[in-house]
Amino acid sequence: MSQKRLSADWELALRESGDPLAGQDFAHLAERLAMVTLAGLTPTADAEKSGRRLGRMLADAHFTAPRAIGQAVMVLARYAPDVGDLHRERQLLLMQGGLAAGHASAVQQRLLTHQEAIHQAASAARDEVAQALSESEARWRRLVDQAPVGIAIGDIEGNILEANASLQRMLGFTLDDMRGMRIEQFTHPEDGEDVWETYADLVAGRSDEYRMEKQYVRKDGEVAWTNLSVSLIRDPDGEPAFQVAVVEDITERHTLQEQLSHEATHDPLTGLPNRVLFLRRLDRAVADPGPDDRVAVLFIDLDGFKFVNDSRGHIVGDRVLIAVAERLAEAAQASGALVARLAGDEFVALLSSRRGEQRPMTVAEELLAALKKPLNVTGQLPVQVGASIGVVELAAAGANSAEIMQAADLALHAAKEAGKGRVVEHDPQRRAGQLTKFQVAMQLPGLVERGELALVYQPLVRLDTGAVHSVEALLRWNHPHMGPLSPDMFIRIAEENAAILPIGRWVLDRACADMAVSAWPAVNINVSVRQLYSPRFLNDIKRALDLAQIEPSMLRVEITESVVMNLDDPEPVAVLDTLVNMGVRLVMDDFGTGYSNLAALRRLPWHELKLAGAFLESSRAGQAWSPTDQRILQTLVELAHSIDLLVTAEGVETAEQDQQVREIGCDVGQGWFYARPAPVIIQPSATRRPAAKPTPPQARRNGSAPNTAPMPTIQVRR
Amino acid sequence: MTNPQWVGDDIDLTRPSVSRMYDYYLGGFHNFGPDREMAEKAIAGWPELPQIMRANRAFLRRGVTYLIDQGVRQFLDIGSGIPTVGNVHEVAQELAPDAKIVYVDTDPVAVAHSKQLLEGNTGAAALSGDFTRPAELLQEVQQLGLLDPQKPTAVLLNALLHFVPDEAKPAELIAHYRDWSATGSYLMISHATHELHPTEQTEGFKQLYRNATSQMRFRGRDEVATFFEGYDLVEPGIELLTRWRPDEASSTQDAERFPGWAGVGRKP
Repeated sequence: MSQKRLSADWELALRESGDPLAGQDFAHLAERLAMVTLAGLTPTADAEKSGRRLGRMLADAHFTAPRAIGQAVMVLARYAPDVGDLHRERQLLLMQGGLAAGHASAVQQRLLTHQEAIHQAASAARDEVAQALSESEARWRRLVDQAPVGIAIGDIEGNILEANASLQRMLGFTLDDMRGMRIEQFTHPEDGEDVWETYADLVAGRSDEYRMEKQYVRKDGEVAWTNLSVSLIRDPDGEPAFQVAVVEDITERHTLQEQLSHEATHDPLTGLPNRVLFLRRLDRAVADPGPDDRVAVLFIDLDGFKFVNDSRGHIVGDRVLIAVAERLAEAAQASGALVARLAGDEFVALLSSRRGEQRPMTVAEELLAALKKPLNVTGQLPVQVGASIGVVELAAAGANSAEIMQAADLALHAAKEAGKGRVVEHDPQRRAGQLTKFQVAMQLPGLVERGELALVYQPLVRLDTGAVHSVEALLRWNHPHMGPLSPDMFIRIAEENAAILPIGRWVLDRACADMAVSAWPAVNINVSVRQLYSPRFLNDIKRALDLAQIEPSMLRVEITESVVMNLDDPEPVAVLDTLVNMGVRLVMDDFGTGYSNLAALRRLPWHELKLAGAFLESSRAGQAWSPTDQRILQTLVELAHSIDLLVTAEGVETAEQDQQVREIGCDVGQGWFYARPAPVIIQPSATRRPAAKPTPPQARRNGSAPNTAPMPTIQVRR
Repeated sequence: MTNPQWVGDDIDLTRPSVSRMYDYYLGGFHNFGPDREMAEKAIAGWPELPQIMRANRAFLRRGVTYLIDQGVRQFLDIGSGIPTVGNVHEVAQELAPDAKIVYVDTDPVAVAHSKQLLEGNTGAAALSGDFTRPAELLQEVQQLGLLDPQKPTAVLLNALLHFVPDEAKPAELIAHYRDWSATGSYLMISHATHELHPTEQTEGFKQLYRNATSQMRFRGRDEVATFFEGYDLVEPGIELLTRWRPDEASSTQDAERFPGWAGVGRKP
């Protein structure tokens, strides 16, 4: 067999088992393999050595797969028939043996080298991973340490293992401090029971994490508020192993929140709790009461505060409120009542107690007594304000906040109605006959349209002749459910929400119309300050006079002294001037109740003055005026006469009072002693005056003694 | 999955590695017991496996030779495995000494080994990277500075995509590499297919690989064709491994015995 054929045979074997990517020249290698083969088969050659060389050459050229040695042995075996003699056959066997041995040896070398290489690679890769891990760990540690939140790791027994810098700063403990501490040592006195129950659940593996707001005591004793979130780390078997706490410092936020919540629940002017907080406390008091728990609400409303505000300005008004708040809070302290400011001059006190422990009426009287002492108001003379208090007291069980407040409101209303400066306890029986301020406000619109208003008239009698001097139109609300309601019940509310304008217009029209068909010499109507500001007011007056075809002098406009005192704006003064120029007469009502400014008498062309009914209060109780009172009143009347004003005494109920007002020189009297208010009586011949006498015909007709207890309607003057 | 930015994967030599099994199929000794054990099981089920691997390597050789002829001097070989005996850089640099090759593999051992072998070779480098995270991988390549993205680069995905599941959306991943590479760049793919063999055999094979570091996903010719979106396939298009531009050293005989599709595309 030629060298060429042998060479071709080698090349075929190489192609069968070689790596096609090795980029070797198979033909060239085959040629060298053929040469070595032939050289090894010469008679003197060391055939085995040549075989080993062949084996090595194959292995070095990557022919290492088991099939490669098989292919090589086959090449030599295929060559055997061409050999011819025994010696060369023996040479060929030696060569095959050498080939196998040489290949195996070279492959072994190679295997060891490769294995070492791959192990090295594996270990290098491991090192790289370890390096990356350690870098990553270092990075992680830095991150944890620099994190703005506190981070701590503890074992399941509650020992602290690690704590980052933030946590150390937050709590003021060093890592060493904390490593010696147990988690339980971070109990705060105000932790609820649930805090440590939640913790116990976590370390027992019953839960995997929890979050809560928790406060800690710092090493320096200060309190740190935190948002705490704790996670459980389990071991591979799922058993609790570690706990990781992430702690966010929210002390600042918490402080701010508390401040905000204080602002939201407190009145900025007086610092007292506001309506929100008060209602919250009231809700709480009735939410889950014991069988003997009582709850009481004292509804306090200042008397005459509007006047202080109007006459002395809001700044003084505010100072008065502050002083009142202090006084009330101080007075309530002993009873433990919570005093709050609801709005304006409305205060409220909440008293919760066990049955028989406290008497809310007593507390209310104490509060009133506290206000009796003049208030010191910065930059002002001592100011005195009165107050009325409505009290409701009942068992906390089954009570309802809204109903309690409504009842207290009703009681307050009753207190105001009974003459101010009093305490009235809520009487459930009376409740059905009362309207709350809210209900009134709701029903005011449309009052005129619904035809629920009516006027009654009370004569003003000339004290010298007994003749009717005029009649005062008094307003009544014929409430569909409540029956006739006096103006005290609704006029103040109507003035607050402008419902007074249509009501005032109706009164004007009605009174003028009634005047036209009666035999009265004149009619008095009450005008509110809001009406004076109404641009329609003068037109309304003219129209009403025209419609009724009565003389302007027959209409008398009553304006209360406190309103007149506050007429700082030129417009209402001009309006009144115009009225007078038209011929309408001007009456100052309720003179002497407030800070009577005699100078105010000069500002407008008044025709008449009505002394406030309050002057007769003491005499009504059966006591005569003191010589001083008498003298002052007499002087007032003289003063009025000196500027040509007619003086009327209001609220005259008894013969003694009639005598008293005559003594001080009053010209005209008004009150039950002379006549009760009555609906208009249409005179068939709208001509002459009735036979009014000094003795009140109505009182006689009723046959009742005029010195019985005064009814509220006597006070009514609108 | 390797994440060079963070904690590296731990190295688990008890799990068979695709790249070391491949080495074993080719008669290499860069492997460990678990690799050999599983490779033997594979061969028992599919005795022609070593030949199929060789056919794949022969295609790789012809493909790289073709690309060098087209003037390509940059190669990004993803899933390069253990650079056993001879490799892309040897073929390429023998034909064009200025050729640059970057090998990428997820197997940290393969990468470490490649680094050892490439020590002193300024035109070739190996790095750890994951084909399925192209942004990170390309950033690593960029940082390496060996390849110039302005110049044509051949992206080699040999015997890789059948380890990428459909959920990873291989076509979309390839698009990342296509968009990164310059006009005139190439994509080279070889991919195992089930289309020429009984289902039992391919299924058995899939089962076998279930425990290895990568699972197998055989794909048909049409599926492989979708991977070339945005590329113009060069002659002869997608062909069986041994039929793709055979040369005098290769045989196209029994081409069906080598169940893999091969193709090369050019980015216009």
